[in-house]
Order: sequence, then structure tokens, then C-alpha cells
Amino acid sequence: MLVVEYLSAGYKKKQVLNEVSLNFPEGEFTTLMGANGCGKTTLLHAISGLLPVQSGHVQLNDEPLLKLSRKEVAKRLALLPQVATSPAGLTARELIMQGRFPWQSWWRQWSDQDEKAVNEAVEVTGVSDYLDTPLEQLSGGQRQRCWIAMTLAQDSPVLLLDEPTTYLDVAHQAELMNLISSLKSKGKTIIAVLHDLNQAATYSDRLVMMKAGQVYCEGEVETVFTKDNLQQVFGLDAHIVRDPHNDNPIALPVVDANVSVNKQSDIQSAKKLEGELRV
Amino acid sequence: MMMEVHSPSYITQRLSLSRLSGAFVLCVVLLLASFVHLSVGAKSLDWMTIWHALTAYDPSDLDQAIVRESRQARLLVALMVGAALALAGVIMQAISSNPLADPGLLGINSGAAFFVVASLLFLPSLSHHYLPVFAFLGATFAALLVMALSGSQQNSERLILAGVAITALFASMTAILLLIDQQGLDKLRHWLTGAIGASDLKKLEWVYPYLLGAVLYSFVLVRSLNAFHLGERVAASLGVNVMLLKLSGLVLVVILSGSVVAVAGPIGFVGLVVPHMARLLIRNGYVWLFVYSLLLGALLLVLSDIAARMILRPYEINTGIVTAFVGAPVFIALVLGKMR
Amino acid sequence: MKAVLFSPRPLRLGFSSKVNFHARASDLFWLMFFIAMLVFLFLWSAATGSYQLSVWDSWSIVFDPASMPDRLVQVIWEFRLPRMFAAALCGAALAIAGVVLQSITRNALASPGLIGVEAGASATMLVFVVILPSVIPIVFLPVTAMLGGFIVATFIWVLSSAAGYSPVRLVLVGVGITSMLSAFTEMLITYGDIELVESALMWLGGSLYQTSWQQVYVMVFWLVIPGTLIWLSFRQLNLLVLGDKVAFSKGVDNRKTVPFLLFLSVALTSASVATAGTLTFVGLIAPHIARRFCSNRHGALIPLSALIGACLVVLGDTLGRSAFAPLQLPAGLVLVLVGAPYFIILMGRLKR
Repeated sequence: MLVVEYLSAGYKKKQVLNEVSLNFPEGEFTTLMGANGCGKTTLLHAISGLLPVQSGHVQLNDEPLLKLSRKEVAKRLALLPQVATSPAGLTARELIMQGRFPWQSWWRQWSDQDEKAVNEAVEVTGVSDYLDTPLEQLSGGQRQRCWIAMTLAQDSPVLLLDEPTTYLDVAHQAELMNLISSLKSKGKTIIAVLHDLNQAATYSDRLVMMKAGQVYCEGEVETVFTKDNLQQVFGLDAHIVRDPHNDNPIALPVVDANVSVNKQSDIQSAKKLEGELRV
Repeated sequence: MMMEVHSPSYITQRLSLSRLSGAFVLCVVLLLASFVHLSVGAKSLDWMTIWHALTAYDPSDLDQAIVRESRQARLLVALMVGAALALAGVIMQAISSNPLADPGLLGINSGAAFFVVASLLFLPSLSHHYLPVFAFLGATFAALLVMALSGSQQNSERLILAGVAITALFASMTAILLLIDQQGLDKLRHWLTGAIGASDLKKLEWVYPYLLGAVLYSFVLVRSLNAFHLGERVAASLGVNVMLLKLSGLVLVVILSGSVVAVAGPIGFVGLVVPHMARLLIRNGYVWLFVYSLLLGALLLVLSDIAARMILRPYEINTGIVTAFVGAPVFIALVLGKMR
Repeated sequence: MKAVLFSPRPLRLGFSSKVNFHARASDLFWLMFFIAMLVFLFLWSAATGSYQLSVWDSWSIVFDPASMPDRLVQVIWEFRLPRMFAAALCGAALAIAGVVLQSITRNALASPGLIGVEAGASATMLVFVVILPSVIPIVFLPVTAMLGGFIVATFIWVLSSAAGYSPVRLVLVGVGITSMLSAFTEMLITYGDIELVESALMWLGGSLYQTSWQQVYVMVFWLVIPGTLIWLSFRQLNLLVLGDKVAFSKGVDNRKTVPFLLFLSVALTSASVATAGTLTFVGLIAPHIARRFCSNRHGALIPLSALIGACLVVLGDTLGRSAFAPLQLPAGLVLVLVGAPYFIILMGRLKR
């Protein structure tokens, strides 16, 4: 279990996180949600140590994470930051192999365990077909799979994913979300930042809604993903409906009354108007 | 990089009276600085002598002769050079959308300098009237190289590093020429660090038609530049021919800094510093930015030239060295303040 | 054969299941190729000069000195060989420093000169040559120059990372400080005694004239220790190229690794500046040439760049002393002439 207690963090001029306390149960998929600038990415970065923490602590299975060395943290916690770059000349395999960095040292180069972890990551993410292809020749979805494989090769119990589906088209997004939620069966604890409300509600076990650097509400999807909470956190007026296939909650933004969305009704009202004019 | 918030132009137009008075104050300061400039030097002169030399010149008075024969010329050169460099800087920062652009940093000055040195060494019989032409050629060549190196995306860091590489290239080639021709080194080493001297008045005569033309043409571009400031796409959708604008800007920069190099050698950092000083006073609107930059550029160079003659009296430091010592810290402060 | 050689699949080479490493066959091939190239350049360079020999003669002199006339052996062993070794070592050191700088800043145009070592060393050198001649014995001049380089580099690092490290700031603050220092250098060049200035300029241009075996030994030491430490950090560099955040989340501690690597590259640069003056372009261009053969795989990139840097400086020095004989052009300047056009073409291609 990953525990965050009274965590405050931020940048020089402005504090972004204000005494956030949260529990992330083991083997569950938790999504951080909130409007732009609410501190969800900052929270992810603070947990991973990327951003120095002002106060508070982070514990993984009663072990204080912030006191460990970088490599020790990386063995326990793998962060996939938002990456836009793909370095030229690197093949998928070479990228994934670099995920083994925390387990290697100057005197310990490449071991059988490293080999095993990489093979497993390749198998889970299904990238074996293009292992020796340079990254720049792959599609966006394939490349993102490689980055996830690299994060998996790190072999850490906790995965932190920062908007993993950004820059992908709809089909690849769905494919990738299926892959990520399948990682739960490998016993991984997954913490992700997602922008798409319905992806978050569909794939995660728990939701954390953040507002102005604090946790507004958290818990199971069913209890948190409500009309009221969406209104409060995003300022969004939405209906909650059910997915006809699996009964998951889905948010549909309310359309303003004076927008004519239905062409049929447009024609009807036009006819009606015409009739009135005749009379 | 921070985007500044600009007030709409109808507000700024109403405020043009205060801008006019600001420009007037600057003119007065410039005038005072010019007087100081005339009075200092190997021999200090009092202000009455200068006043007489300017209004009722008596050639038999030796002090007045110094003013009229040598110092006045030097002052004129400093004024022209400063104004031209500042204008080149504003235009360069505008068309590259890069607050760190400067003809010196981007290698344009050193390209011009290399061509001038090469022409002096290889074609010694050529009339000196052609020097500015060689300077333009070198400046154009360097500018094209920097653009080719820095790529199309707007990346300050890459542009500056491309400039550094180009500067290194031309500086080394100049050094090779000077190593081959040892007498050339002795003759040219003052000029190569950006020197202003009285003898340069003659050189000013070769370049002033170009300079005048460039200043006038830059005011023609003002409206397009105002639109361009909102972004390349916005400008294009407002009907600005962006390609033509960038090309014109580049030609102006080449002419302005090429002329300066032909007269006074490569003087750096004026083009970087002055536009930022002007922007402290003028938030937007290129007409006034140009006016203020011209005045401030002239002022900065006159002051630098005074400092160059005062610091190590009776020796003189080259003005280009003084501007580097003033400008580099400003550059660093800009980097530390703006880049993340 | 060709398929195996240029397959992107890395080979696992090793002595046991514990001690082994990955390398592409092509990387190994290019390493061998450039070692051979360096050996050939050495022999050609040893043969070239005011007393011209054949490459075959220089081979026998180097590997079997007893069979050749004493006078020839002396010319080669005492004058040409130390100079060539110094050239190769300096080129290798600068190339490695260039790889580190370009990878840390993730900018293809970064070079070791940017962190102020060269400018600092040049300024110090000129101060002690032109303003205060004979204050410091000539023997200690290189060490003093090195110290000056170190101080300036430290200053740039402190200034640019005071408000949090960022590669962009490091590079641009470096540009600022460097141009201020070069204004200072120019001032000394302009006002100094022309004789002293000329000798300082010769040194600044990257001249290897009068190099002794002593200097070569010192340079070996300065290349091997920092160079090996940097090579052993190739995995950190591989990750740093992917971005600071990625590297950090994989366990690279930027706050320690980056200053450590910078420190090593400052050591490499200042040592080579002390031996051969400023050879500006090598650190910029050698990593680019090497990257065409092994892209950003630092395990291969570091040794390959070192070899290419060595080849370049040996080539530049030999051309400099033979092409315009009797005039001797400093190696650094020749390199700029040879390297700049190639560099510009290369960058033009990279853009696309």
C-alpha cells in the first residue's frame, strides 16, 4: 500500500499541493482527476521524487520512499512522464532495455534477470513484432507501447502514468487503456492521470478528484463519479448515464437548451412556423 | 518563455503624447551626453570652448580645432553606429520572435568582418568605397548560414548556439588570414574589436545612403511588424505577406549591421540590450519602439565611447569591448530571468 | 555477412552470465575501422614533414627502430611522435567532453567551449603572457590556464543552477560569460605588445608545436581517468538523452550525475586546452560524425567519438604543418576550415 501523508509541494513562487493525504491500495488502478492546474501531475511528480517535497511523507509498505536513493526508489516506483521526444536511431528493444537501469551498476552489467524482465515486458505489451525497428518508424500507439514496456521492465510494484493516452487517436487510446488495466492482474499498483472522464470511470477501480491542490473526494468509482462532484470539481454540468454493455457510469455533458442539436426538430419547427404564417 | 500581455492599440494611441515627451527627454539627455563626449578625451575641454567651436568656429583656436576636426567626427560616428545597431537588434528580435537575438551574437557581425578583412588583404588596390558591399556580402552569408543551422522551429537556444558556431567559424577564418599576413594583424587588430575613431567620418560617407534608406524602409514595415507580433499565423490571416516581411527584415539587418562593421568593426550586444531597454518604456507599437531604440542606441554608444576613453586614460579601450562588458551581464540576466 | 554486421539486434558479448554487455555488431565494426584509420593517419603523419618519408619507412621506424638510420629515428621519435600523440589525446578528450555536453543539454550544437573552460583558460593564459610576463614560470603556464578554466566553468555552473538546474540556462549563461571573457581577451590582444600577442595567438589557435613526451604522459593520465569514468556512465547518458524526467524516473539522480559528468568533461577540456590551446571545433563535430555510425548508444558513441576526435586533430595538425609549408597553421584553425563546411551540411540534413 502506497501512503501519502500531509504532502505539500510546489514551485518557487506558488504552492501547488497543500497537505494532501491519500492511500493507494495495492493491486488497484487509481486515477487522479481534476481541472487544469489542480495539482494532479504535481502530485504524481512529488510522489516519484521528481519534484522536491516541502513537507509531508510518502511511504510504500511502511518504508519512507523520500529517504531512499534514486535507484532504490526506481526499483519500487516507475514513472512514465509525458514524453513527446523519440530519440533518433534507438530501436524499441534498446529503449526497453534501458528500463533495467536501477538494477544495474558499474560492476553489474547485463544479467539473466534483466533479460527475463525485458522479455516479460515485451510479452505483456505485445511489442515483439517491432523490437528491432527504430522508434521513429513506429506509429504513435506502437511507440507509446514501447515506453510502457520500458516502464514495466523496471519491474517495480507501483506504476505512475502521466496522461499515457495523450497524442493518440481514439482506437489506440482504447487499446492502450485495455493494456494498462490488464497490468493489474500482474499485481501492479497503478496510479494514472487521465483527462478523459469516461476512460477514467471505465477503467479505474478508484478515483481521486482534486481541486485547488487538495483532494476534493476519493473512493470507488460508483460513489465518486457523480453529477454533483463533476459540477464541483470541473464546473461541468453533466448527466450520468450507464454503458448498456457493462453498466459503467458515463458522463454526458449537458447541451445548452438553445443549441439546435437535432436537425429533425429544426425542420419541424420550421414547418410549424410556416403554418403559423399562413394563418 | 513568458508572453507579455499587451494593451489594445487604441489605448496606446491616446498615450502618444506622453511618448512624444519621453522621446523629447531622451533627446535632451542625448544632447547632454554628446556635449560630455565632446569635452572628454586626451585633453579635457570646457563646455564654453565646445559651444564656441560649434556656433562661432575660430580655426586659429587649437582647442576649438580639436572639437571640429576630430571629436565632432567621432561623435557623429558613435551616434550613427549606435542607432543603426539598435535598429538592427529590434528588427532581428521581431522577425526571429526571439528576445535574445543580436547581430553580434548570431555571427552576422563576424561574417561581415571576415569578408572585410579578406577584401582588404586580397584586393588591396580596390577602392575603399566597396568595403560596405563586402560587409553586406559577409553579413548575408552569415545570416543565411545561421538560418540554415537553426532550423525552422522557433527555438532560442538553437538559434543562439548556431550563432555561436558561425561566430567561431568566421573568427577562426579571420585569425588564419591574420596569421598568414602578420602586418595585416597589426593594422587591423584595433578595427576587429570594434573601434570608433575620428578617421571614420570618411567611412561614414560610404555608408550613410544605405543607413538612411534602411531606417526609412524599416518605418514602412511598422504595420506588418505590429501584426507579426501577434504570431506568424495571425499575421498571415490579417493579410501580411510573412515571407516578404521576414526577407525585408533580414535585408535591413544585413544592411544596418554590415554598414556598422564596415565603419567601426564588429560591435556586439548593442542590438541585444537596447531593444529591451526600449521595451521597458514602450510596451508595444513598433513606431515608437523604433524611435526610442534609435535614440537609446545612440545614447548607449556615446556613453560607452565616453567610458572607453575615460577608464584607462590616457589609453583608449575599444568601444566594442565596453559594449560587451555592459551587454553580456544584461544577456545573462535575461537568460536567468526568462528561461526555464 | 552484411546482414549480421548491420543488424540492429544487439549481440550479447560476455565472459560469464555476470560479466557481459550488449553491443551491435556494426558498432564493433566501426570501432575497429576507426582504430585502423587512426593507425594509418599516425604513420602518414609521422612520414609527413620538412623531411618527407614513405609511409612504409615510418612503419619500420615506429615498430622496428633498430633497422633504420639513427638520424631518422631521432626526428620521428623526438619531434613528430610526441606531437602526434598529444594531438590524438587532445582530440579524444575534447570529443568525449563534446558527447557529454551534447547529451546533457540534448542540444546538437553544444560544445565543450560553451561551459567557459576554453575562454577561461585563454583569458588566464593571456593575462600571464601579456600583462604579467615572467610572473609564472613557463612550465606552470598550462596548469595555470587549466585552473582558470576550472574557475570559470564553476562560476557558470553556480550562476546557472542557482535557481534550479536547466540545460538551456547552463548553455546560454555559458554563451554570455564566454563572450564577456572573449571581449577581455580581445582587449589584451589589441593593447598588448605585438610579439607577446603573436605567441599567445599561436597557442590560442591550437598549436602543438614543441610538444614533449612529458606532456604526452600527463595528457594520457588526464584522458584515461575522466574518460573511463564517463564511459562507465554510458547508461546514465543513454537515459539523459531521453529527457530529464525519464532519466530521473529510471533512477538517474540528475542532481548528482549531471554535475559529476560536467566536472569530468571540464577536466578533459581544460587538460587539452593546457596541452594544445583551443581546438574549438573538435568537441562539436566529432560526436556528430560518430553519431552517424552509432546514433545515441553511448556505450559505443563515447569510444567512437574519441577515436574520430583523435583522427581529426592528427589530420588537422598534419595538414597545418604541411599544406602551407613553411608557414605553420595551428591545428585548431585548420580543423575549422575542414570541419565547418561538413558541419553545416550535416546540420542542414538533420533539420529534415
